Amino acid sequence: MNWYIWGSYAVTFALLFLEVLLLIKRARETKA
Amino acid sequence: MVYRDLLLALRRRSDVATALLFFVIVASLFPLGIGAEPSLLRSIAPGVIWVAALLSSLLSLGRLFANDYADGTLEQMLLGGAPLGVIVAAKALAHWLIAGLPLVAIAPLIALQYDLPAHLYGVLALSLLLGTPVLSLIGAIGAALTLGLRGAGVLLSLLVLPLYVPVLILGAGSIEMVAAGLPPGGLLLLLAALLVGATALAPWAIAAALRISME
Amino acid sequence: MNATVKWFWYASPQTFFPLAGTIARWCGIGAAVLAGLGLYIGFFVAPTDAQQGEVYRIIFIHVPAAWMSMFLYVMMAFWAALGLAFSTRLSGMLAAALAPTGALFTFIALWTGSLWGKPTWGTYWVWDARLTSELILLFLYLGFIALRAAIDDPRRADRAGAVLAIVGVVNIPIIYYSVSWWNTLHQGASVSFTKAPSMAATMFAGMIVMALAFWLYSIAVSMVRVRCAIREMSGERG
Repeated sequence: MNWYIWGSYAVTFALLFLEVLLLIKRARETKA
Repeated sequence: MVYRDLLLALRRRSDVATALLFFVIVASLFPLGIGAEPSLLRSIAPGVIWVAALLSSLLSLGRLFANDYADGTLEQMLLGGAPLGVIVAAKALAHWLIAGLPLVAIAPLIALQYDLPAHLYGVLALSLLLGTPVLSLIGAIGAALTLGLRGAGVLLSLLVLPLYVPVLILGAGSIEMVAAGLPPGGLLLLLAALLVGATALAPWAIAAALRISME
Repeated sequence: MNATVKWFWYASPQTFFPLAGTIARWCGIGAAVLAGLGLYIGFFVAPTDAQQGEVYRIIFIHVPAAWMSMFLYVMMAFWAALGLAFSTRLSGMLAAALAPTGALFTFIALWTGSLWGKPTWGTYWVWDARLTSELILLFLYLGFIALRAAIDDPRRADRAGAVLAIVGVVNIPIIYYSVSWWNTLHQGASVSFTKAPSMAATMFAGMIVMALAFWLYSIAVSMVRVRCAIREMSGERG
């Protein structure tokens, strides 16, 4: 397993999770 | 309409001169940064001249509608009887006459600085002549969209520069074709096609954008 | 006739709100399941490529992300145009909700592309037609987001963004063709872009599953974002 694959997948899913997290935060704020 | 804008521009001659000076200065900076090796300069000249033209055109776009917007003239134009598409086309034409045409005139001077061979001057002038009106038309869309917004200048460059890419490629490419000993006809035709397309479609988009911005 | 009535009924933000919640939930679950399946196929089922070795496995996120980046821009322009034509508030919200996700997938496509390029072409970045167009696409997305962010009035933001998105979508093919022409003129000799001649069926399956996962993810995320926008709008009013 080399760093090219690892770096691609890690960054991709990290970014997607970050987007989801930010969205959940925004959804909570608008609900309140 | 064109006449009126030109008159106004003549009254603010320093603005026109500034844009022109900017073009010359940007083009003069490259040799200072890269080095004055003649063969290197000759190979980057088309790109440098075109990038400088793009930036210089961008610089004067902010004023395209801003003054008329500030003094209420633009509102009267919207309410007046003349079709808005024609008005904005006239304004884009005026912008080109003020900001584009002088570049075509002064570009040979920069070509001289870059030691560009004499047989390239024709295609350089022709490509600028065909390409700079497209810059004015596309830029006017951006200018209309960002009218009256905070930070409009930076935003305008972010919106407009990516759309300038085809003009840059075709314009600089046609000069490089001639430099490589190939006929530039096809690229100049494509550039002309861009001009025709932009003339047909851009006024509609500019008018729509202005209506939205003026609500 | 009945169908059209129903469409416009759903075009009202208030009636769309619960529907968006349901869609978001199911698409979110589907995206998670398919992404797991895609990862499984990508890492355990698909065979090692004869020419590139293990590193080709980046394809399972790179290609779907690149598809999504382009497709989402077209969808964004479509909703924007619809919003401009019928002045429905919801269309503008949908267009705005797609933009950040589209920009994200564009970035992912560029990022994974450069990480794939390093071991196969020997460099992180080449001025290839596809890479360059993708970069310009990212600028178009960012321009759209920046324009909307700069406008305070939401209605003006919707409509100004719509004009920009339509201008962008007209320009994308022109940009692509000019860049690919430019690229053939400036083609560096060291880099060759030939792909592996035949693609194994499992590889293709992995790519499709991953693409579907990204699809569902995009739908889910944009639905949640639309719900936030609807809440914010009604909050301002009431």
